[in-house]
Amino acid sequence: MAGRLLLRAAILLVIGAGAGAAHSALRPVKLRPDAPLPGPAAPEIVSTPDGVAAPADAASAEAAMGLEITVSQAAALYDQGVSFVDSRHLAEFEGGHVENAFLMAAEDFLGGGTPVALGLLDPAAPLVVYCGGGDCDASKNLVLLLQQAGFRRAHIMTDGFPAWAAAGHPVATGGPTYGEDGSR
Amino acid sequence: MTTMTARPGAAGTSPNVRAIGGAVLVVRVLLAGLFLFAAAMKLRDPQQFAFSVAAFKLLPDPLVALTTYIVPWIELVAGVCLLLGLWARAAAFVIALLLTAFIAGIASVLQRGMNVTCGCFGKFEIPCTGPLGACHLVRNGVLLAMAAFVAWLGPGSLAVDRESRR
Repeated sequence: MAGRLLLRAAILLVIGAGAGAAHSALRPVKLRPDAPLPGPAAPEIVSTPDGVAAPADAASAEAAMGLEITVSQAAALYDQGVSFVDSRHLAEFEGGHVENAFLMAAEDFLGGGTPVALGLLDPAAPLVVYCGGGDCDASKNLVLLLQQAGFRRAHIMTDGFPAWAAAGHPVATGGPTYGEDGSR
Repeated sequence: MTTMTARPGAAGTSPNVRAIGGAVLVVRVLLAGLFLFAAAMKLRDPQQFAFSVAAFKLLPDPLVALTTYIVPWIELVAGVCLLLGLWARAAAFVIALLLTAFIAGIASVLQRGMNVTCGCFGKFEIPCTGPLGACHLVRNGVLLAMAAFVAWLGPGSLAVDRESRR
């Protein structure tokens, strides 16, 4: 009897695995959010006199950056006034974050929800998302959701907040304040 | 058949046995509903689940892509069988295997101190919220007990399976 149970279980597994394998062949998935998802992605492309297409002025440096950027690239964007999004937990945010950063977690999107900060950001503008650096996947998860929400120019500061702070860039402590004073 | 004495759900049995058959039915349908929901959420957004699987950092890339589809399809097949009470014990056994694998994966993530969100139900989190933690282990432990209950006692009432009458 136990033999029949195992045989049937094996048959169910084979059916499921077969269907899954076929499905995966039909519809490949990306394994990490390297490339922006298809859609109205690119910054404006203008034609320069010498005939070479180049991204429009201020956005050029940003547009040339990949999905994942370094702390110094992030700092350059910060100086241009690009918004930062902290994807860590509130307690970590309160303990120290990039000055003027918004707080947003992938979990805020759960159940069809919309993070408060989302309404304060411009989907057409670039964005820098970070988490704790190292092994943390929070910023990648969040960028995926932001891309789905129409933010096509989100970057990930791979080394995260610790590297930002260590490099001496502007940091602040305490909870988010943009709800009250609407700064940045 | 391990339960040689009472056959839950069989016609003309004592109230006690009918109660067991009813209890198994309830557990079976709950489990089936949950796994069908989980399968549907994963298959609705395979890309999101693929990132969840990749975030566990347990599998090489080619297996991540396969796992992304194989897990929900097994959930779907086992869930349908459980719901119908068709090969219910085998389906419950398969669910138990899946849960064991999930528990091992989560334990591995926790042991490595990683911050990973659960792809369990797509964008929904039931009932555990936030990154993977002890709550997910407990939840899966409870589900595992439910699956073991069905795998042990058989399909219960209102099942396609006729083995309880044989």
